[in-house]
Amino acid sequence: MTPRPPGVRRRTLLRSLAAVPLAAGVAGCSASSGPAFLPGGGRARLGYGMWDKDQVPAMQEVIDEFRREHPDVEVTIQLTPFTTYWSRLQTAIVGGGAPDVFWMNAPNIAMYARHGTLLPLSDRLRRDGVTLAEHPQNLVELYRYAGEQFGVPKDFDTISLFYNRELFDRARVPYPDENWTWQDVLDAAAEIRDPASSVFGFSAALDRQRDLYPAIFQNGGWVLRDGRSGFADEATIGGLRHLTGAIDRDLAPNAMANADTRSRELFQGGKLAMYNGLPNDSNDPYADPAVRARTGVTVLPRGVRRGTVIHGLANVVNARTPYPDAAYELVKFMAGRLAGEIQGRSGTILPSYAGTQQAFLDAKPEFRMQSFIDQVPDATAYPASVNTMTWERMQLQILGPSWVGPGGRPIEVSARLLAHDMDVVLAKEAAV
Amino acid sequence: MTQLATPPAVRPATPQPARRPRRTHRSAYLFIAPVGLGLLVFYLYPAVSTFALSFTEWGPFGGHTFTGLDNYAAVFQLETFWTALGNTLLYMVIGLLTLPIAILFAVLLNREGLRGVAVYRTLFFIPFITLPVASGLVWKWLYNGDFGLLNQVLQVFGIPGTYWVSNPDTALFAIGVVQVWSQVGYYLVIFIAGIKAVPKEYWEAAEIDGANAWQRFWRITLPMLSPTIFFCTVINVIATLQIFDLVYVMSASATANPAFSASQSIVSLFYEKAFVEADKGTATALAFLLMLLIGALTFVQFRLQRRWVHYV
Repeated sequence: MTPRPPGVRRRTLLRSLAAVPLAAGVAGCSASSGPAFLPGGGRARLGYGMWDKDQVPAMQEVIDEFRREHPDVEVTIQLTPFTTYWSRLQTAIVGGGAPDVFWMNAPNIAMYARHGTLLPLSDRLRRDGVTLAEHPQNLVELYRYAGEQFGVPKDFDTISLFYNRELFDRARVPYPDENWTWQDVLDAAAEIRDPASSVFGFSAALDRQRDLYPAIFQNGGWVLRDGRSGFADEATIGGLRHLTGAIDRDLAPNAMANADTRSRELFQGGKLAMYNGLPNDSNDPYADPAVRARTGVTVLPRGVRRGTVIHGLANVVNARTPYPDAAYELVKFMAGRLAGEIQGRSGTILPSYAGTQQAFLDAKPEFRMQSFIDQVPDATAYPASVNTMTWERMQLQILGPSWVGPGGRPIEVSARLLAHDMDVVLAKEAAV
Repeated sequence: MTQLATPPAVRPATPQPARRPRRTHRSAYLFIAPVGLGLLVFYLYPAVSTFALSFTEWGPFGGHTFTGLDNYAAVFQLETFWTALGNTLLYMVIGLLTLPIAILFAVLLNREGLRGVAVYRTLFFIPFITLPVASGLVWKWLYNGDFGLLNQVLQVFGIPGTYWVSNPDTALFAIGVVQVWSQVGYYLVIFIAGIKAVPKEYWEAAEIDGANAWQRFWRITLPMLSPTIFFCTVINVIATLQIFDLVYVMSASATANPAFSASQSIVSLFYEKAFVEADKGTATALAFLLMLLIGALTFVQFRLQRRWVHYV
């Protein structure tokens, strides 16, 4: 798209290099000198950091398309498993070996942005007239920090209800649909529950994104607002009680059972009738023909209101990249229609660019994948602050004792303890 | 290199023998350099800088501000620290059970006329050389509450099982058992060597005097073995106080394990602080406190050994 600049000298590279630490100055500088990622006609070599190996083929295809437009930019995928992704990235950023462009998620964006490790993108996006209006608004806002855009969404996810048709048929219960409420779920679960064959009705796992947040939002509760924790709020506690209540009634496996065998494995094995899943949780059921035939997907049931959580990954640029312009071009390309279509076609991830999702829906025609998109208007953005990881770990540790079934700590006690500890973390990060 | 290594004896006698040791020293330093440099770079330097950094607030992306003893104060205020400390000491106590078990098997394997000793020794030693992550994973499957082999075996006898590594009441012990299982082989080999070093005449003399097997073990084998036992105790305590991989694999990797706190060790708390929460200041203080604890316990053991260890 941008023509090869004839007279870009080495000085331009030096200038753009020098400008990197001065966050705001970068865009203005390179804008005046044109696209500067080919200093002296050389090649820009970019590393692209990601963690999901299922998405490697699609991302490689996106990169190949990008290179058609920019043959002078080499992009190498650097795959790090999620379990070590963040600790390695942190170390690599300090040591100077981090990828030029890498995946970012909601819990981490504010911390990385606050410490100046990411290249601010607002000025460049404005210059190029990129409004990101094609992506869900609350998703774009997730990657804004202190008024500056640091990340450009590539995909998104909401939560949908996966159900096992065979177990519903066996219990002679109609399949869940968009009219279902919490009560319908509990009633169906009670019918389906069969201790003899260890079949459970539904999953109320201590799983933040799949279970806790949707239940909280469906009850009109909240997690984080104006630097305060929402876990002491009655509506929030009510949402959590929907889950713990089901465990206490033995309708859903408790946290001990879930820690040994996760819900999605129970579902895959036909021991669970309903569970909340992400778009890519459909991959395993779809891969097995027998499981594919018996699996249905629909929107989440409603509580007091409809609700789910929306999250998505973004591509961000390392502030210390020697090729800020090339890196920015890659990120911009990945937020475009073509990149969305390629990702959608792969069937591995739901692209965030509006209108490119059809290919994703078509990739699994037997599943009603449209449910994930239908729920976007009801979705609340994934809650995050600077030290998100710290208070997210607290949720599991403090709520855990209420997730073990009858005789566990009452949920309101755990939730208030959590609210207190979370507020301490939030106050500390506000004080910096 | 070979020149330096030449023994001094083949050279003409030097008039000043005082210099000879220094030359020898020089080549000795060269020989220990690979290990020495490794220790310096990967152990000593990090240890010293950890100590220095434990007095600083450490940003997630570097940048240190001196904060005095704040990190230490923060550690002592952490509820999880006291839980982890208690857990770690419990792991240590369970870990010490390795030694009597190892001694028992060492004695059995030393019996006259036992066939296939080498096979047994190998079998005992295999768990020790298996990666803790691998054995942790396999044991996690054995312990699985719904599909695990252990519960299925217990069911045959009508004993109700549980979610061994996810139940807060059992997780620590379940992990402790695996720790013992994986370490027995190592100490077993040391004890076998220790028993072999005991002169046979002692047992023969005792037998002639009418001592039975138990008396021979209690009055001869055990006292003669006490220096070995002491060595093993010290090593074992140091190792179990640093328990991490088994805990990480068996109870912490499932993100929502209700037994997480009940089985967390000090090193896994350190890992949480340093690499999950990016709070490296608190983490370094924690690491240094653990070092102090290990040092103190080792010191106490060296003081106590005078009372029970017999050196011949």
